[in-house]
Amino acid sequence: MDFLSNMGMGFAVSLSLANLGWCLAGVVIGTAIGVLPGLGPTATISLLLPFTMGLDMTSSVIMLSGIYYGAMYGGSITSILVKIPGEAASVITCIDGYEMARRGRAGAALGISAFGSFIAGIVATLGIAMVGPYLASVAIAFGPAEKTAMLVLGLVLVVQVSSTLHFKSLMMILVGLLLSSVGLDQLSGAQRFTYNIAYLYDGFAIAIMAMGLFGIAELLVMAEKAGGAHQLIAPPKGIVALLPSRTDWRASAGPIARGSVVGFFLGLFPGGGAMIASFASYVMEKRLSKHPETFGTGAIEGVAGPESANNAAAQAAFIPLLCLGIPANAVLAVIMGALLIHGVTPGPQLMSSHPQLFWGVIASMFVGNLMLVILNVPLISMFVALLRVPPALMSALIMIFCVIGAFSLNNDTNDVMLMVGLGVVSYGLRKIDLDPAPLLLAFVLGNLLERSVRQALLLGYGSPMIFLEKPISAGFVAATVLILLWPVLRGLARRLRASLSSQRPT
Amino acid sequence: MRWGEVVGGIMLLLLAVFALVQSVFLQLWAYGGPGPGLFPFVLGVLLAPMSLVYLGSALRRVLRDQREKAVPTGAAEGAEPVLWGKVAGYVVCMTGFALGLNIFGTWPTMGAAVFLLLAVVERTGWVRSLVFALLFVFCSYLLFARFLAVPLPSGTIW
Repeated sequence: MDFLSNMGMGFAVSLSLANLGWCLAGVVIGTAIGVLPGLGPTATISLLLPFTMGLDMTSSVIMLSGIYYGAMYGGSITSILVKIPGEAASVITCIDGYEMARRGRAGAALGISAFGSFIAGIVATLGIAMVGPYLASVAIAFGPAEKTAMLVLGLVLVVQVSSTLHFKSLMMILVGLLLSSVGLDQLSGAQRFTYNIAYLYDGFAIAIMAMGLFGIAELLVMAEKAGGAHQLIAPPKGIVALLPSRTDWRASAGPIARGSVVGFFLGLFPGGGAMIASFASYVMEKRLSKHPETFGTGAIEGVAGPESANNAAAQAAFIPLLCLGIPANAVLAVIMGALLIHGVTPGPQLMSSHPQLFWGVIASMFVGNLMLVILNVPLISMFVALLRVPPALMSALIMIFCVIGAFSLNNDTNDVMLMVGLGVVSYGLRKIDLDPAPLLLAFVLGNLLERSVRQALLLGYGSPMIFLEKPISAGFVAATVLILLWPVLRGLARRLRASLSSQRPT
Repeated sequence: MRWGEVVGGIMLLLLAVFALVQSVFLQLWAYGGPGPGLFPFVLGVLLAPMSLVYLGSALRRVLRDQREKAVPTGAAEGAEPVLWGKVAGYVVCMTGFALGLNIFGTWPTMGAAVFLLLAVVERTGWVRSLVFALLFVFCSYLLFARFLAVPLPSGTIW
């Protein structure tokens, strides 16, 4: 009963005219940036962060989350028609989606991807609404020691699936945590690393960090390459061409159902994410298929499963953010930044302290997914036309958004200079294969982590044993140690097996 | 990018040492509990050896490349060349845009930055660049000043 009344409240919030408008803006922008290769949701949400500060916090999160899951839809369009994934999560769709398009079945591929994403989105949203409250009710009992151990475990999990080596990602996490300690100390009020520079008293702004590390860096990455025309397969004309046939539906029903479930569970884990979900779904479908040889040659199951999985994972990733206060990836770290800017700390208390925000955002996902499937089917040609915009013009537009956005935060040129500086640093980091995503995640979580660590140590009279004395915290610590030592243990086991097999008499 | 890794390793090491030294002055332990310096100190302690390992492996790779006279990754045949001049051009345009906001005003600075970016950095053609610069300024004015009501600075020009 509670569930229904809460969802009712959520729909009342999300169906207000203003929130419908922001949700629509979010999903349209999300689809557009999903279509454009290069500019991802992290960069776009970072760029738009300053402009959402004037909005009501629920509207702001509704729009930003619309961009996130809208990008998952958009990413599949270019994967199918151009064989260029607009989004990392759509890489796997290139294989069979593009093959389907080459064989004249672009309409079916695009259609099943849109409908599969829609179904998965609805399944995941229902999952969030049902699982979220239970998770939050467990997490609400967490003290500082448990929170510390959980945050550390979350960061370590993110490291495990980072695009670069774990060692490098760990270094980036430490740098992010260090940067978060700049400014006035939240407990003692002491100045840290500020050197009497008034600009540094409040520390680095999350929005500036996000815009610099992702927006500017993305712009520089785009600049370094000579722009070329995309080889595009003509998009299908008319809605009928996009509707999958009965045979297509029969072949896709299983993959969509399985993709939704797999995506949902993988999305729950920090670091799980949409990309892993789509890969996992593809591998699973290929194994389950009676005709695995058709995969890679335009099998519709190879589109339906991964596309459903990536959308379900993208939405399930909101659970650790909204219920535990742990962003599962860089995009959600920026959305968490938006909440922090509005003075809301995501976590177990969010549901009781800001129920309209929590349930409003969840209900907006239903609405957003519906908007996406209604809009995307007839508007595919329009989104594809974006690929014809010259990259130079796109870069000029991004530059304007970055500079005006950064300046408008505090009407301060220093913010813009810092953003450009961070962008250059982030570009340099990418050049030497250091991923800035863990850095931003750690930066966002830095203050929370430090506060929890210090509170826990105070409660434990200075003894770090407090982290091992509490069972939940000890469990998290054990899991963290196990994950960190896993590569070493696996190597030892492999070596032991090899030595045993070499000793065995032949 | 081998030398880039070496430079990155040195920067990370310097950052770790800086954090270590500075956090000691911030009090590691105060009034029976952790002080403001403890957290950055611990981070510095963790980062220092990691950056040393990273730097060491980067240096080893540089030396190996020099010994073998190998072509470093990224400059390999077929790899897309990096247009460093363009990257620098973008940074200059953005920095100029930021610095000019308070001096010349938002709209003239934006127009100049977009024009230079398109005409000089992207070589789009002078006339097209001018047309697009004017169009972007006009649209930005409508979006930021009129629709979003973002307070943007005026300068000596506008």
